[in-house]
Amino acid sequence: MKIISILFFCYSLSFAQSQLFNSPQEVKKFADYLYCEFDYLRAAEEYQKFLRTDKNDTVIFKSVLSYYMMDRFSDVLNFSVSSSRNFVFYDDTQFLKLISLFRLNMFNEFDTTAALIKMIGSKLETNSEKLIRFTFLMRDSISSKGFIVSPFDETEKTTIEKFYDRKQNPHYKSPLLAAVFSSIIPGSGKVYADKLGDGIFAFLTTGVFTFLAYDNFKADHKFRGWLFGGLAGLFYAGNIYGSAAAAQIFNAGVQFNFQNDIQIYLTKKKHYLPEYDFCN
Amino acid sequence: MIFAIKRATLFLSIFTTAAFSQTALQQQHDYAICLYNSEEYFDAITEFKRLLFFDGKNEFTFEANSMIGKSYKAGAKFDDAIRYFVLAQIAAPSKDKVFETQIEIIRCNILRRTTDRALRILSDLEADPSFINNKAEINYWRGWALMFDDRWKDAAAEFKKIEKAHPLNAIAENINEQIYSVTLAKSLSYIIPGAGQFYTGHYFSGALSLAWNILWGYLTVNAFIGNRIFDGLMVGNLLWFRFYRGNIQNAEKFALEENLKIINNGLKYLQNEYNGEKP
Repeated sequence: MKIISILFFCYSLSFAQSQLFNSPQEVKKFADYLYCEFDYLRAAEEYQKFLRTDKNDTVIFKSVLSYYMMDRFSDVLNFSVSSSRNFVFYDDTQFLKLISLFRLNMFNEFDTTAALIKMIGSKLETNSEKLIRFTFLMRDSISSKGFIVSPFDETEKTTIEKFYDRKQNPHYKSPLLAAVFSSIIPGSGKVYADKLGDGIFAFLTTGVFTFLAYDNFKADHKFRGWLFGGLAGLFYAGNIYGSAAAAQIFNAGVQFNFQNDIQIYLTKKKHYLPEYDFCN
Repeated sequence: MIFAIKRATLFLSIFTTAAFSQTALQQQHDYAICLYNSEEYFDAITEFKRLLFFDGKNEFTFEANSMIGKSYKAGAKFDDAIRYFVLAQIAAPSKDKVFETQIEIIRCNILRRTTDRALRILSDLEADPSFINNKAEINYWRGWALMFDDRWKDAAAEFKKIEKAHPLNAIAENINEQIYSVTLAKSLSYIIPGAGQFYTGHYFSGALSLAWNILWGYLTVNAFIGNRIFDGLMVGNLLWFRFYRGNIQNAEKFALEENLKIINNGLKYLQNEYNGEKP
């Protein structure tokens, strides 16, 4: 109740609040200040406030850019901007939408948007082509190497070729083969799945328990023989299953590392978004 | 005559603009304060930032930065809060305000668990002769910092410095008495497997641990007595030693878990039942 009454009082104050700070020009100035202070959320809100009464291409673009800087890609996509080529930041805004779709892994929508907006002839054509090539690298289907590397200059070509080769030959391990290896020689499937330490440990444990079982049966210690025999069997079966699982984990790791490396590379390249200096 | 009228008009217009601007800033300030009081922290920050932006004469620099810091703190954005408290401290109009702002920074550090930083600032304040009269407050916040760092005994000592019958002294001492010694739990399990678990109240786990160790210990010893050295080494290494080590780790884990429960209950009690100032 106390808060509601304070709120009511605040709203009455907000009416009295001076128009001096809330004229469109002052709102824009304040929003620019917030933008340069990296307070993008408030900057976006103030830009929206400005746009309710006024129109300005730079403000529209800075508004979209603020959402992008906060990684609020859905807001970037939902932001309605003029589809007219007269809009000064038309290409830049469309490119921001493309990057947002890419970063949301919405590749089908990315294709549709890329086909619709037609960046051909625009200043960001090469940048969008580069991004399109990365969508191919991120998906299951892939085109020819020449097509993938075509928009990149010499400095980037080698890296992109390496990405392409990793995509084409991912060095996966077969879970079936890993299980077969481990059923023949305990631990060898783990070594095959790149788990050398686990492989050696599995080999030694299974070997030692098998020997202990054999040794105890030989000495007519039946209880201990069964006990160690059971443990050896448990380790043997577990190791076969573990080897197949290790191969699957290895494959997931290959896929994850590949996508992660692409993300790191693109983050370093800022997703080919041009530098905008609105603060100096 | 015309000259006099012109002068009067000019004076009047300058005066009105200045007065209007002053009122406008004050209105902006009141509006922001109102938002803060109604717990609309996000909007309060926006309005205080607007105040800062339009406050050309820096009349509200200290208060606006301080209130932005408080609003960020209320939203648990401690890094941002500290940033603005530091700005407020730079603009602080008096030593008292400097102290007040430093305490706010300390409280943020306590809440974000950067206790070392909080303790360092407290030591700096203690060493500053200007704050010789604020010793009780310094000890009070040091006590809180130590409680958040799970050093309940030290915290109790700090509260005792303020007043022997300080309510926080009793609470900190009580929690300190309840806390299990991790070293003792581990040591007990070193001597008798499972004893550490018994100490922390996990009787079933303790009995199970003892039983496993007896079984594998018996088989190991039995193998050595029967001159089956290889058997003895293998069972001892792979089973007995594994269970013995597991029992010690288990005792440590239980002690830590129980301590966490006690500490969380203590902090919950302080949050809900303690009426004094909190970080």
